Amino acid sequence: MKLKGVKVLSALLGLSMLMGTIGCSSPSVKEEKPDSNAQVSSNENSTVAADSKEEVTLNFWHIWGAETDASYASVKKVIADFEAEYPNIKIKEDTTENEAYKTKIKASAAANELPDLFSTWGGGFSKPFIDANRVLPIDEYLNDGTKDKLVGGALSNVTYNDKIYGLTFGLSCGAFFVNEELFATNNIKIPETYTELIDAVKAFKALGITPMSVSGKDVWTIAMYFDAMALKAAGNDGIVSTLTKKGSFKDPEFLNAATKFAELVALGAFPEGAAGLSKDESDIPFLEGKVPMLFNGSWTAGTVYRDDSKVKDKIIPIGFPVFEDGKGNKNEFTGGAVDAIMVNADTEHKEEAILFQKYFCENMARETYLAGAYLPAWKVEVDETNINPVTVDLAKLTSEAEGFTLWWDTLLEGEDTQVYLNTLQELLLGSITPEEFVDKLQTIYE
Amino acid sequence: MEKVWRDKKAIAFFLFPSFVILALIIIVPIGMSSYYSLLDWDGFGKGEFIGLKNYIKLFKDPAFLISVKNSLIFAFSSVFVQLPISLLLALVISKGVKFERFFVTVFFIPVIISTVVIGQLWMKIYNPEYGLLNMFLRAVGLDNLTREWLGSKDTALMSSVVPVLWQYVGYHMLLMYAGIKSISQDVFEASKIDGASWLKTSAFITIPMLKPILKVSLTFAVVGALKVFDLVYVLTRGGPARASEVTSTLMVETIFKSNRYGYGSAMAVFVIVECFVLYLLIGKLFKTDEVA
Repeated sequence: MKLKGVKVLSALLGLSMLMGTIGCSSPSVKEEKPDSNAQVSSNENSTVAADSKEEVTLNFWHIWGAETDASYASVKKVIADFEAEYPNIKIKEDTTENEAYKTKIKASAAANELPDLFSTWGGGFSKPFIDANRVLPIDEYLNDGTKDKLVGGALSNVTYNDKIYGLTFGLSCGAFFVNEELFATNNIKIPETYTELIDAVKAFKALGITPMSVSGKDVWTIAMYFDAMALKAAGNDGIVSTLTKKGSFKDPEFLNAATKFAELVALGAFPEGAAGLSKDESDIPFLEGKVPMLFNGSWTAGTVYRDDSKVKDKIIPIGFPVFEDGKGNKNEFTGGAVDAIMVNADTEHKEEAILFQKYFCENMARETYLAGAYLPAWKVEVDETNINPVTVDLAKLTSEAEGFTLWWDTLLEGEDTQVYLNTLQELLLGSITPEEFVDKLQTIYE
Repeated sequence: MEKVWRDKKAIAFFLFPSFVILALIIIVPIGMSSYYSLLDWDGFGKGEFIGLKNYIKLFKDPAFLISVKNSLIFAFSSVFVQLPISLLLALVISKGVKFERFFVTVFFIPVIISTVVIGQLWMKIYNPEYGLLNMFLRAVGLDNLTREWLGSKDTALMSSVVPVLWQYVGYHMLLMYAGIKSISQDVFEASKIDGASWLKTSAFITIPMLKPILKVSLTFAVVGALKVFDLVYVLTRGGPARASEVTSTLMVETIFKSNRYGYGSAMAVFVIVECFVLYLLIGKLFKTDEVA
């Protein structure tokens, strides 16, 4: 009797544990969907271009969620404006910090769990998504005059196999941000050629001033320099053909760029211990006016006008000094329209998603230009007096651009990007020679 | 009760729920990783089955070999530097010093702090210009010893090992401290009556009786060191030029930056096997000890 009791009790206990487990592990599959029929009548005052008056919620993932981000306010404003104009469409945002976002979006694409719309990067980054048919081609939706509103090159990085898969809103480019005051007080000429750059580096070194700022830990900041140097050495066509595996890194132009980069390293152009500094740390001496030169993306214009910056009104942007023996000229720039918005190929609300995609990009082009975060990829008319002066200078500088050569880490696909960045880090440390550097890059072809 | 123990069905019945959980969160993912590791797969689209080629490539990949070596250096330093310090602290504190609880708490604080915060703290300590370490060296006139601690290939690895050791000293100390406290006071009193010094008591009574805890600590230290990721990622990202790369940072780079899921999964499987083998080794070590 006693034993039987134990058995029954144990069976009951076991069963309850089991039930508990099942209860816990069963995923909640229910998803709340807006009750479409009930909402129709309440939406009488909607001024909708899209035919349906159903309430639609679009999930939109992006990277501009931090208040410190130069584009934060622009995104908030554009989305609010859109929801005011199309009251039947709700935008549900989900934001993630840049680096984490890259991981998240890749994982979601792999699992086919992308939201209706997402921000991404053109070029090699999004290529796997397109190859896996995760992104909606939008060619047929752009013939309503949208294409005429874009500046040249705005779509080149979101075009894959002759089809357009996304829209861009802003243009970024690499530029040398130089502290005019430091150059003037020390009687040093702002360099236009490579020889003058070397002279300037030597002159600053002689005064005990570190000439340029770079972060070896956030490797892409080194690539900012090298991308521009390679462009000056090889020209746009040389870069594009080599990076798309139709040329060779062993061409003398690349060795030339690597040799010159190594020369700058040997001269001590970059701060000591640069390889251990993060971007934020390495920016500080520049913003304090201790380091005269920083080559980085056009978003640096925003950084220069940060509250804690001591170099406001002292910074001007210039192109990378031309190489006397190079194929590139002064009107070639690194960068381009890379930040893009794409639509999930499996979205349930195709029309609405594309409507938002166009609206968002067109208005973001204006708002982010006003905010000094990007140069516009759409033809916008704005009052420039209130814009960050460095951004206006950048717009002038690039107005004569012959073209933009995409950054290598965007142009190359993931695996090759890592080879490039890791090898470049070694070149900065001086642990490999320029010859070894191009040999290692050539392994990308294998 | 005896009968329940002998009833195979009852045993199976009771084990079933935990087996399901174990299977879902451990066995299935390991199985999936092992399967992925046999594919040439970019994480999207279809993978191509390539057998053991990923593993063959793994052992020819200099970056991977460096990362394994670095992970083993982490494990080695944990065992031979961190654990002795923890043991010493535990022995001293449990001896009954003043403010015993206070010291236990203080040494345990680093364990509670988020690793990212610790990383930021140590980055400030190591900063070549305004870092505490270099400033201290300059202040005492040892200028020639100042380094770019995290930025130089020679010092980056050791500079990342130190914070990891520092962070978990308190953790192992607490384990050992609790172990010592659970040893019966009678034993200590008996040894005191026999006139044994503190050193002798520690060497011949406390430490031998602490063996099970030491085994746990050793296992945690070794396995933890092989899996270390966060602090290295914050401090150096595995750089410069792979000088402080460990297997887990390399794996994350391979999978999420290079889009090589198959190859990265092979690394994951390697780490699992590596941990398991070392775990068995530690078990064996302590067993032969018990026999002798």
